[in-house]
Amino acid sequence: MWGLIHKLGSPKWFYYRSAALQPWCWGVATVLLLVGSVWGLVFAPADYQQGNSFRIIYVHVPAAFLAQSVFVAMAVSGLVFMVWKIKLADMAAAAMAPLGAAMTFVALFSGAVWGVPTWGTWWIWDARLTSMLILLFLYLGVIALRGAFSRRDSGARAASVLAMVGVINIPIIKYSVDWWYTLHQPASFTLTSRPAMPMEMWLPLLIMVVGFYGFFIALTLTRTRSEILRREANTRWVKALLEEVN
Amino acid sequence: MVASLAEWVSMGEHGVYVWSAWGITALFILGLTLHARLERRLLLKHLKRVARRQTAPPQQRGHCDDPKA
Repeated sequence: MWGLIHKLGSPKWFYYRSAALQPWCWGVATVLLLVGSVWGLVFAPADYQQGNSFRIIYVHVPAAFLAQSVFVAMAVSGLVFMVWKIKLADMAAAAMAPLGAAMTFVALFSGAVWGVPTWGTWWIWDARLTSMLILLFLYLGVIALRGAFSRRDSGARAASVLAMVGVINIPIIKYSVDWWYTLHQPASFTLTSRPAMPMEMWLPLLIMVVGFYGFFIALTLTRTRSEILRREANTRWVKALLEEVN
Repeated sequence: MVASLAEWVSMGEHGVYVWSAWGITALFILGLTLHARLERRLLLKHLKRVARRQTAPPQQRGHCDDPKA
């Protein structure tokens, strides 16, 4: 067990093992996102109440899922880095932060745009919207904090601590729609009950959600691999690798 | 399924909402993808240049212009 953790935490081992996995992740994500987009934009029927504006769901919900999942992944990476001093965890955390911030912005933007025809307003200080806005500031804080130190290790520790503290916002986002029942509707999908939507509406949504997660994995793999090369540039294996690429 | 292209683009008066939300999403996904590719290519180029400099004779050695490397 410890041997496996030690191996998984080795940047060199990870770099070589992820090489074969990477193109598959990009391929699967691309196919799913293309199929989901065409299905959601062309073939899914219009909603009987909202008309075509409901098609925003196909980008809004996956982006909001990812915004929260990436923050949890970042907090877990921060914990692994702080407790076991596994540098690979910190490299992954650094690689995924901009994606999380981008997805939070996308969720907020698409939600605001969706709000105009359905709620009659693009913004309201509703618990769900406010806690998502705080998530965006937390992401920006984590990114800024990492770059604010002259020593990389200090920045990594500060970013990890903020991610671990800030993760308390995630259950608040999740339960905000139940605790403070205001404008944002509660979750349409749960693991325990059948969706209230017809299949030709929720199946493309499921494809988009899986596609977004595939994109997250693919992008994080690629960016973590770059981060490994950058930080391990002076090691013998990276120097040997650079000569091979030449 | 929709009847005509114009009808599809207009999204029954909701076109501006649907397309702006989808457009921003596509912009970020493509942007992040291109950024990751460019990042890797520039990094490899930089690291190779540094490696060549280190193997070159001492009088040809210059300063490394990227402090992060």
